[in-house]
Amino acid sequence: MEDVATLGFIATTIGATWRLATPLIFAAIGEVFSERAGVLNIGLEGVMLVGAFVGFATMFAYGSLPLGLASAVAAGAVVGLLFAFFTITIKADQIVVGAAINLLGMGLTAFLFRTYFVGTGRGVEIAQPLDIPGLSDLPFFGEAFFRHNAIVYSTLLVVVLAVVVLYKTSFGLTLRAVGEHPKAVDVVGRSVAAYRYGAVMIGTGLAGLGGAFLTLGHSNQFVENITSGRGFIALAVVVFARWSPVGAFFVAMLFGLFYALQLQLQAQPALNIPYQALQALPYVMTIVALVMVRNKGDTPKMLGVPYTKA
Amino acid sequence: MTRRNYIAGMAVAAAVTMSLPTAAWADTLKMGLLVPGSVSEEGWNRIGYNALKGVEKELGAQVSYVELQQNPASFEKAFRDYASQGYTVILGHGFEFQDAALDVAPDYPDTVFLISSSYIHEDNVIGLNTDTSQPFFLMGLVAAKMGKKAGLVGGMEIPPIQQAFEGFKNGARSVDPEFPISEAYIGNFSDTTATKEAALSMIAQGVDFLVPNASGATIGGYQAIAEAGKDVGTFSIFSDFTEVAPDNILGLYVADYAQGVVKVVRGIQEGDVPSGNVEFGLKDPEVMKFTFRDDVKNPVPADIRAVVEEVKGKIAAGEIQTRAR
Repeated sequence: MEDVATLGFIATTIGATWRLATPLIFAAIGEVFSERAGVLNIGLEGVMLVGAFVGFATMFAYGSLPLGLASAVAAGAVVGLLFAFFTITIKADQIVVGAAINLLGMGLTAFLFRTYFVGTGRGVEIAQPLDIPGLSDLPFFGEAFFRHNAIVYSTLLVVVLAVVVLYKTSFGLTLRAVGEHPKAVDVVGRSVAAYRYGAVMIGTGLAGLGGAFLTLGHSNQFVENITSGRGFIALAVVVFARWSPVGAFFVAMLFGLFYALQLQLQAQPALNIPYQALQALPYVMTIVALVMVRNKGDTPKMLGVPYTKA
Repeated sequence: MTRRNYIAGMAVAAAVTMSLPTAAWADTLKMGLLVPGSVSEEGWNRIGYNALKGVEKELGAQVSYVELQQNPASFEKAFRDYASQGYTVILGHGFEFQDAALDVAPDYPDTVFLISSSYIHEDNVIGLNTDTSQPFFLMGLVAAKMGKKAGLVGGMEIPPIQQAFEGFKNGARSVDPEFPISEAYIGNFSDTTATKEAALSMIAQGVDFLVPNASGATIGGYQAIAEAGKDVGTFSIFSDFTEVAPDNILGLYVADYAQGVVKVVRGIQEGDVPSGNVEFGLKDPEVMKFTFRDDVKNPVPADIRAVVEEVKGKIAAGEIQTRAR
């Protein structure tokens, strides 16, 4: 118990928070793009698995981290293309196709992993923590903020880029309009379908990157179902964050915090709280937060509705 | 062809046809395996798969397996599928298969249902148990003699993992009743990231001897230990993880469950069905192998090894109870 209040405990918790939040941040910001354009992609879990696997496989074969990450993004986008084809072109139900993508991701990665990777031994070289001169060695702050790898830091860049693209560019304005009033976009002569394809593929590309963080930035091995529900949590993050990229960053961090906290608290034998109660903490907090956050009506109006030209 | 030759030829032919069937079909051993997850990862499910392969190789059995992904609704059907196809032995790899086997077994009295990590024995349903608390008792002993604080990261709080950890705690406390031990569960068997973070947080809290036990997700624990440097010790459990944490793994506990299962199935093949629950332990050295590594930076010193050997003997002889019964 005496361990809980120490600065060391807090620093470790904050450090773990950011690492645990990283895959959620990528996937949730990706989903913000998709849902802002009116496409609800519940297949994030499957896309993340594909990203985790393809990133790992590429790294294993070629030993290049940038190539591994790039191929994970590309693989995510390809799965997104499949999803977009069925939901936008064929106008199939988005929930059904999303569920199918989850099953596909789980089955396909398990199949390929078993077929091509019997023993992976040491695994792959993962992204190493950056040593930032003067900062990494700081007491408290070093452990909490400055001993992460580049993938973790890139979450900040992704937030900034997402805000700029969504709110400061003509592309972003049109993308958001597609989710609110697609007819207006159509009337001015822009293709609703093209924007939706783009938004979905940006989203799944980022989700693929989030998956790849698990195998290339944290563990160095692929394990079947390694995402363990992170894709579904990312979906909740988006709703909780009211479809805002900055919000998604902080809500994902909140999830990471509760996740890190529950792992840390379980390790305190003196606390005597059943571990199931601690494990439920992130989810209980989501429900509490969702109840408290008032619905300001900022759900994209055409979320989940296919667009048909009149 | 004379009559005598003809008769002799007939006799030979008769002898051949009489001896052939026993080898060819009458006694063909068929064994089925039900696993609760994927056999592709190092860990629990692979152990069941290896047992099946062992029976195939050593007893020439015809084998088949099915993965059921923690889905209790499908257990009974899977047992029934194998039993109705005339399988001699069906191994349900995990105590969770016990109830389904009990439901199915009365309909197929000629099939033997083996259940891993179960204490059951009812007619043709026989539990096989590897007492993992025994090697974990030895690990706990080493931890308390060499370290200051121990950590255990589990997948879910299911009996085999609980018993292993109980053995560890009893072992450590046989040395020092106040020895601090942290324990955490990640809540599944696939989240390597959670295992790694749980292990990292324990190490940050001063744990210098840590054992992860979470099936497929176990490897995350070894990664955390490897990153923490050579001051954190561990044991490789069930499989050989030496490559992942070469500076930290002080020894290996490898269960050759296959040898145990082969032994039991050979008995069944010869008509000797076990009359009770079967338990493998340190008394079965071909099944349970507990070894130390010498090519590690801080090897376990000779005096501690001597103590471990002595305790090992006492456990095998039943003089030390590694967990409550």
